[in-house]
Amino acid sequence: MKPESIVEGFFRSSETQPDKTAIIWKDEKITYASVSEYVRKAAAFLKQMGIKKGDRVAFYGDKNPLFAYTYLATHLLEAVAVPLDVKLPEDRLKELLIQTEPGIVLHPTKVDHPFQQLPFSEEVLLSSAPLGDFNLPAGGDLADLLFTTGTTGNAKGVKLTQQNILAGAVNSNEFIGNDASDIEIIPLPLHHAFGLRRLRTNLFLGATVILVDGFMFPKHFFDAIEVHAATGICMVPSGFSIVKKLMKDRYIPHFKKLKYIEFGSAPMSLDEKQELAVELPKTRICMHFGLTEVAANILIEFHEVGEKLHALGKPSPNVSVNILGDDGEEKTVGEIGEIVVKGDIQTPGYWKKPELTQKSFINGWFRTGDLGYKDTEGYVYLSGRKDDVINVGGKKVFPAEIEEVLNQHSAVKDSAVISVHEGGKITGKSIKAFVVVKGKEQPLPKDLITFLRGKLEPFKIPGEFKFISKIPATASGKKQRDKLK
Amino acid sequence: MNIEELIKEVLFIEEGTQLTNETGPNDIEAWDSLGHVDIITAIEDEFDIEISPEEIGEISTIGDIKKMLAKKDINPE
Repeated sequence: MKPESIVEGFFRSSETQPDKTAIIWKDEKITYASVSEYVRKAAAFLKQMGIKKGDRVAFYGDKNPLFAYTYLATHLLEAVAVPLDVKLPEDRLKELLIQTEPGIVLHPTKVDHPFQQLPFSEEVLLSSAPLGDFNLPAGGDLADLLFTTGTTGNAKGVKLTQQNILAGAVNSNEFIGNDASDIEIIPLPLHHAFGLRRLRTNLFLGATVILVDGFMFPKHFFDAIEVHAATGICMVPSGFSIVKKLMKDRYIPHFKKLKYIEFGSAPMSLDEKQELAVELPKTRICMHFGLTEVAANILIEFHEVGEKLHALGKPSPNVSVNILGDDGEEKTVGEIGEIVVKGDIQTPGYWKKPELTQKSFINGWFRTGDLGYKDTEGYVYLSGRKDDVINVGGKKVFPAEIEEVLNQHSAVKDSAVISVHEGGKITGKSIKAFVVVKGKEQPLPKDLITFLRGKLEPFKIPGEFKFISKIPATASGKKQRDKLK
Repeated sequence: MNIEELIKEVLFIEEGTQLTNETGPNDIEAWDSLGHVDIITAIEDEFDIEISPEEIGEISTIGDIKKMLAKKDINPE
C-alpha cells in the first residue's frame, strides 16, 4: 500500500535502510535510524507538553537537522507544523502566533504572548525517551500552516493537508526523476514552501539531503558536490545569479556533475535559461511555477522544450491547469486569462480566512492570481500578476514585458514598472519605471525612452523614471511592485 | 572612501553603527547573499579591480576584504 503521508514514507525508509545517511549538516552525517529516533524523541517531548491531534506547533525555521526532527515529530502526533521565518520581526511573529494559537512555540527569542514557549534547542526537544506507540496521520489531516509574504496585518496562513504535501513530493519526483539514490543540496530556507518541499520529498523517498547555508558561500555547495558526490540541488534564480556573479563560469564543471537541478519561486531570464541549457547538457534542469497554495503546478525541463524556453511549461504530473476569464469561462488558445489549478496539491484554503478562501476558488479551481495563456501544444505562458496589470486607456499592460525590454539596456541592471494612477487614464504617463543602474552613470530618461521605442508599443513606454538602488523583492526573489507605489 | 563607509553605503546601514574588521554577514541583517554580491560589486567598481572567485571564497569579514585589497597593493584607509 502506498504511504498516506510524508512521515509514513520516511518511517518506511528508516526501516528498510536504517544505516543510510538521511541528513548531512556541517561535518555531521545522520543516518535514517538516528533521524527516526530523534523524531520519536521530539514527538514524545511534544506529547508530554500536551500536543495532540490538530494542535499547532510553531517552531523556528532554522536550517539544521533539528528542524527536520521537529517537523516530522509534529506530523507523527497528527499535529500541524507552523515553521517560522528566522528573520520575522517580533511584531510579525506575535501576529502569526496570535492568529494560529499554537499549543507550543519553540523559538530562541522569548516574545510576550499567551502561549506555552520554550527555546528551540536539542536540549529541550530531544530530552525524552523515543515515542513508542503512535498513529500515522491520514491524508485529509491538516499537516502545515505556511505563511506567505505579506505586510503587517495581512499575514495569510496557507493550509496544507498531508495529501497536499505528499502530492507535491510525488508529482515533482515523477517529473524530475529523482529517487532514493540521490543526494540533494538544499541551500534554501526550510520555512519556505520550496525548501520545505525538497526536504520532505527527499526524506520521503529515502534519499540524502545536504543542508547548506544559502548562496553566499558557493564554495560550500561546490564542496558538497565534490566531497559528498551530490547529484541534485534546488535553487531560486536569484541564487543562481549570485553564484554566477561570485564564481563566474567556475560553477560549470561542478554543476555538470549534477543529475538534476530544480529551480523555482521566481522568474529566470531567458539568457540564463539558455546559458544553463548549453553549459549543462546532461543535467536535467527543471523549473517549476507554483505557489505555496498549489506547489509546483507547472514544470519545464530546459532541454526538452526547444524554442519554448520562455514558457512556464506544462501542467505537472497529476495536475490540471486551465486559463479562465473572470466569468469562469475557459479561454481559447492564445487568449489571456487567469491561470487556475486543480489537483491533489490544491490547498483547502487559508487559516481562519473564509472570505479569502471563497474568493480564491472558482468552480473547484484554485485561482493563482497570475495571468497567462496556453498555446496549441498545451504550454502555459505567464503574462503577469493580476494585481500588477496596468490599464492604459483600456489596454492591458504587463509590467514584466516592459521590464524585460528595459533590462536589455546596457546601463540597466534591474527595473520594476508600476501604474501611477487609478482608473485607467489614456496617456503613457500613467506608467512609472524604477531603475537600478549597473555602474555609477545614470542614463538620461530620454535615452531610455529612445531605447524602448520600436521595441514596445508607444502606450507601453513609461512616462516617468526613478533611479533607485534596489528593487524590493521577497526572500525568494519575487518583485514587490506594491512597495514602490 | 574606506571599506566600512562603502559597506554602510551599499547596505544602507544607519550612521553610527560600529563596523570592525571582525564584522561579517552574521552581524548585519542586510549582509545576506544579495548584499554580499552588492559589496563585491561595489568594491570592484570603487577600486577598478576584478575580484576572482578564489579571492571571493576567502571573504567572510571586513578584515578579509582589507587583506584581499592589501594583496593588490590597495590601502583604502
